[in-house]
Amino acid sequence: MTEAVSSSSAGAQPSDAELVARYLVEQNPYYFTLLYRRYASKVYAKCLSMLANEAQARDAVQDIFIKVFLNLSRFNEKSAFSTWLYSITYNYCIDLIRRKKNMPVLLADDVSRVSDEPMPEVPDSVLLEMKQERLDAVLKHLSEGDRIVLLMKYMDDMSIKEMADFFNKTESAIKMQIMRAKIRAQAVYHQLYGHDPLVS
Amino acid sequence: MSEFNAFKRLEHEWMSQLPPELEFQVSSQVRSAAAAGRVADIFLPCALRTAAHLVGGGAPGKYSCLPPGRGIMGDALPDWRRPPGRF
Repeated sequence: MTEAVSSSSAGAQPSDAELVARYLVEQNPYYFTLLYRRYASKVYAKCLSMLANEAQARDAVQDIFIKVFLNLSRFNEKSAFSTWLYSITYNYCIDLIRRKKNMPVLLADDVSRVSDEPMPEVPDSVLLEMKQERLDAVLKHLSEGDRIVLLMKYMDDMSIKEMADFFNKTESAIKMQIMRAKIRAQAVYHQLYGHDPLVS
Repeated sequence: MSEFNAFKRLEHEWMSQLPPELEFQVSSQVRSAAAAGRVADIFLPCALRTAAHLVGGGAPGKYSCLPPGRGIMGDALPDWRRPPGRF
């Protein structure tokens, strides 16, 4: 059975949906291991970015994959396997943060109200062109809510609509949250390094 | 959005830090869960039907998972037990 997958993968790699279907028919955990190998590093990076703690990220990866394994039969092919897996990852990490910090909501309530106050526009390049280690430091100083919206937008390229659906907020509330997160990130950078990010 | 923006570079760095021993831990848990699932698949329906019979449902013997003559009282009363009202 295992050899069959190995030989077929020598030509074309079986798709994620194929691996899930094969697992459900044959109940061979090897197919799940293949899915793990494809996505574990991405899931680990997401957990590490959200939880900012290696030990917690390791435990989270284990829990998430076991959860995915136990719910494989619920996976429908309406969305990609990766989308399903990442949404489980986000939900798991957000729940963990909420429980640990005793926060009922991740995004502050005032984010739901779109403010009329004019806000300084922070260009994307401020964050995108930052040095990697400095961005890491800045992210660690931000609140969980700010960090997660920035990671969803710039690391995972999620659209505003996808984020709004995920958080059950309006698109304008999400745009506002991103804008505020960028302003706070710029302020943290200034605090840490004594100058603005685009000034080298 | 550039493929090599600071966020993507950071993500690649984090991805490379995945502890290799995690795969073993996850796959051993998955194997245990799969084995437990198989055991449950085989025994649980039987156990539930048997419990239902014990509680008093269904025709005895018809859906029983137990071997004949075991467990639930059979159709006939045992020899040693006299039918009531014949004293």
